[in-house]
Amino acid sequence: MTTAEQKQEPEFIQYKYPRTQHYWHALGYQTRAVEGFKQGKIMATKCSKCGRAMVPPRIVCPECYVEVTEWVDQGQRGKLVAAFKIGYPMYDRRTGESQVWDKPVVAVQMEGGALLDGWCSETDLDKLKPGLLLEAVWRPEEERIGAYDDVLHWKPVEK
Amino acid sequence: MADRVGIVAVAQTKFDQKREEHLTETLVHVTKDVMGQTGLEFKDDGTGIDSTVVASQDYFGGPGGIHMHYAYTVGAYRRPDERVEEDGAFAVAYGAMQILSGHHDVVLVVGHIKESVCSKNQVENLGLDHIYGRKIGLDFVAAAGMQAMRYQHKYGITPEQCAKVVVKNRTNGKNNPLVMYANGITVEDVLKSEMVADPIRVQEAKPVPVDGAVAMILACEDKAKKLTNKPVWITGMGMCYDHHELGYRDLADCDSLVSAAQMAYKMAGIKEPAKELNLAEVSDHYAYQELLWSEGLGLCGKGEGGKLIDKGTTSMGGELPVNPSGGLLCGVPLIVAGMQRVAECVLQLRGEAGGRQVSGAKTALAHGVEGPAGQLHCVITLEK
Amino acid sequence: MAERIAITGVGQTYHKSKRKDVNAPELVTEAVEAALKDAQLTMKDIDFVVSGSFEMADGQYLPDMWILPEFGGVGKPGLKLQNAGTTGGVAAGAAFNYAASGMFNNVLCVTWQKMDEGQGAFGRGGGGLSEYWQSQIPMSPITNFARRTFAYLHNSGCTEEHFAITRVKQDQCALKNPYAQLKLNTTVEKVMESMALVWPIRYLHMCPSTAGAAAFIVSPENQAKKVTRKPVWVEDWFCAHVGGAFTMAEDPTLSTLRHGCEVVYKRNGITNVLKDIQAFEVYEPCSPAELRWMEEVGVCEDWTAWKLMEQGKVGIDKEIPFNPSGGVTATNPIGATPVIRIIEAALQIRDDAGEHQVPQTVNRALATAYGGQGENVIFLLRKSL
Repeated sequence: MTTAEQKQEPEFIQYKYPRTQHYWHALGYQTRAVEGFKQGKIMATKCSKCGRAMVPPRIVCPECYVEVTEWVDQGQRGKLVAAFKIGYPMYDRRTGESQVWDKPVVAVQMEGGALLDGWCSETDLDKLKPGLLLEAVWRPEEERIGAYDDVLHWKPVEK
Repeated sequence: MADRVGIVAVAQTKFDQKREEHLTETLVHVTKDVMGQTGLEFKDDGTGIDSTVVASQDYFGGPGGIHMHYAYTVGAYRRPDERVEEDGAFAVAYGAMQILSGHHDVVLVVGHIKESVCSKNQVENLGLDHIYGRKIGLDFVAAAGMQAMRYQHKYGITPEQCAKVVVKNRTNGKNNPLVMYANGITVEDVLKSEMVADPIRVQEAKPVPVDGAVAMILACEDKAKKLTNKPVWITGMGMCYDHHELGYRDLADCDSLVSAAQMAYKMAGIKEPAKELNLAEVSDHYAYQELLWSEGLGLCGKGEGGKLIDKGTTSMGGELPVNPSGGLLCGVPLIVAGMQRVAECVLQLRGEAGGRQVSGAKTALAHGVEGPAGQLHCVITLEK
Repeated sequence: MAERIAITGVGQTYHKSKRKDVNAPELVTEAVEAALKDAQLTMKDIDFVVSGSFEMADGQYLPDMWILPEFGGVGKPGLKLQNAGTTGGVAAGAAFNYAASGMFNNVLCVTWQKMDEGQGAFGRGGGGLSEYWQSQIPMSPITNFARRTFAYLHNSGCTEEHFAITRVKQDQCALKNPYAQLKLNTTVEKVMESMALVWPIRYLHMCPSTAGAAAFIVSPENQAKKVTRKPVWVEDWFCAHVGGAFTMAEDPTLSTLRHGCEVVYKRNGITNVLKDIQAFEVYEPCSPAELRWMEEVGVCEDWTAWKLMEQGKVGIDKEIPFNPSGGVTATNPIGATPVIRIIEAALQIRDDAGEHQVPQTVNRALATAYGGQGENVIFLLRKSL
């Protein structure tokens, strides 16, 4: 096998495309979950066959391929399954800019069974152990926009 | 070829703007539809649907790798699932190939897109060369404009002949309950409409945006015969790439379509397509394309596309009806386009096309196209 | 399968982080020409072209349209596939399907990614996210692996040092691979000290972004025997996708690798993985993943791979020849990466891998593609059928 040898290093031509592509996505059945956020609730769909609760809510259970119609409130508490901390400036899809993120992210197994990710108020990574009980802290009601980050962060429950 | 591939079920959504419906809902509905028609489920033991092939495009999804998010809605959970990023006709051809290779027996093929999520022109601008195409603002509409002009100039095709295609297809479309843009437009209306890319007028272009999905189930010969008493067989498949830069080809002669058609006809044993085919569903993204593609497909001689429409050969009741469903000019989204052509052929060959039925149809041709000014073509021939 | 098929030629570029000297079509052409030369064929002999690339990382819509004509794709039938991380896996699978149909003599499979162009921060900055649910928390392939790695630390009882040991092993392999991009000659200390990209994933645990391309040619039995004296037979492949990628709904330890391997092992009578398979090229996008993948592929029990790594039992000339090429942590042109795994596995079977050749005879090799939140495509290659 052969390939061209690296020769001199020319420069890239940089083209900037000032126009941004915007996307409009229909929420459809997920509207129910968005309404839930405004009311301070995490709503999941639940499979009628295997009982699996899903956030983001799925229209069909992937395993059973049964169309899902039941909605369940997942409660306010859950247990830590995994945690990570973003250590470099990462792209924020809301603003289009990269920024530093202070809080770690936790994967939380909700009381209602669903698994979801969210920010965590506890910044000491050594304290983030599997099984840690966490509670949702919401934005004030008037600031909620019906989005997943209406949950400001997850806070360890004091014993 | 050891075996034949049969299409045993097809389902289509209505082709409109789905602003109320999440993409996953659309996908589940078409998938459930074909599963219901055949009684098949997703199974690992070879007794159900073995594999899924999807046609979709990331740039029309928003996030990269869009298919990964929604593959579970087409049954791809711990299971074979592949995604073709071309027109839907290629997904059908690839699904058939999974069966001809002996790797799978029953394949679900789904094509979907929501053109309404973003700007088609802006995405298509990204489909052109960085230096020579994008910076002059070229997109696929502009590319089609150049092709139309060259085609009209070289072969003396008139704007009236192109407008007649619109009138024919929009009239045919009245018999198709799934399309939104069927109407009784006249040649004068078409020629008075706004110019979008000279000489293409807005009424001569496929309406945008349109959302929708198509699903079908393909099966090997044995299983197809058991699954339905009306299987439709894929007899030939052909595809071919052309040059990317428009200046590298003579846009008035679609050489790659000629090759693609020859490949399919050879496989199907078709010698005189104009006589042997009972109908054709071609991808008329723009009115002139139905004429040009008809030439490429050998339905008439080079430069004779205009005569074809003047003589009424391709009208309903003509010798070789083209686009009895109304075609893309009645509003069918890209990606889905080629696959919907196949689906329409299947309905025709099964005698289930309702008001748009071509009587006694035994053989049909479906055509899909991708890229600027028809760079990549796919031709599929089918029989009862 | 209708026809038995074999890989008759392979080619890849020397992978770099940036290739300012070529554009994407020229880059891809290098790999295609290498594959054609390897098979002693020309483009005239190719009768089908399957291509694959994750086009958002290229910044191009329908990139196959732009790239294929450069190396002689005009007038050829073909199509492009894409499924994010497993793009090369599904493209290779498609090439195998086309060849196995017996309708084509020589099928070219070509995949690429020029990640120095297009949306550069794509890989780490939100590519592959669901439009609504993840736009509010920055998630990416790295955060996905951070979740997995956290779970691995807690389930296996290993320490961060074991990930560093793994990285050093991968790096030592890459040093022997002329095509690999990252050849760091690094140490456990340096890996441990590197920046916590997304803790517990460190900078040196993660794969790079690469400009590179890879291609192979596959033919049915009769043709393969005419073309080459060293055909590499494609024994089986299985695509185990798990749609719903990157959604937080999935268990962080979930992957279809174990399931996919079980399917192909059963179909091909493999009972003792380490005895029946002599080389493994498994897609590990970060060092900790290699440990989990060893367990899922079945070379050791659950949560024990780190012990084998610590004992130095994994490497080119060791008991477990896992990723002798240096793997994905050394080279990752996304769309082409799975095809590089297949190429490296094929080279091991042909005894052509040079410095990173596994010493014992390789009769069977396993290659995988990985993508999303645990999607896998598994390939088995054989020296003889």
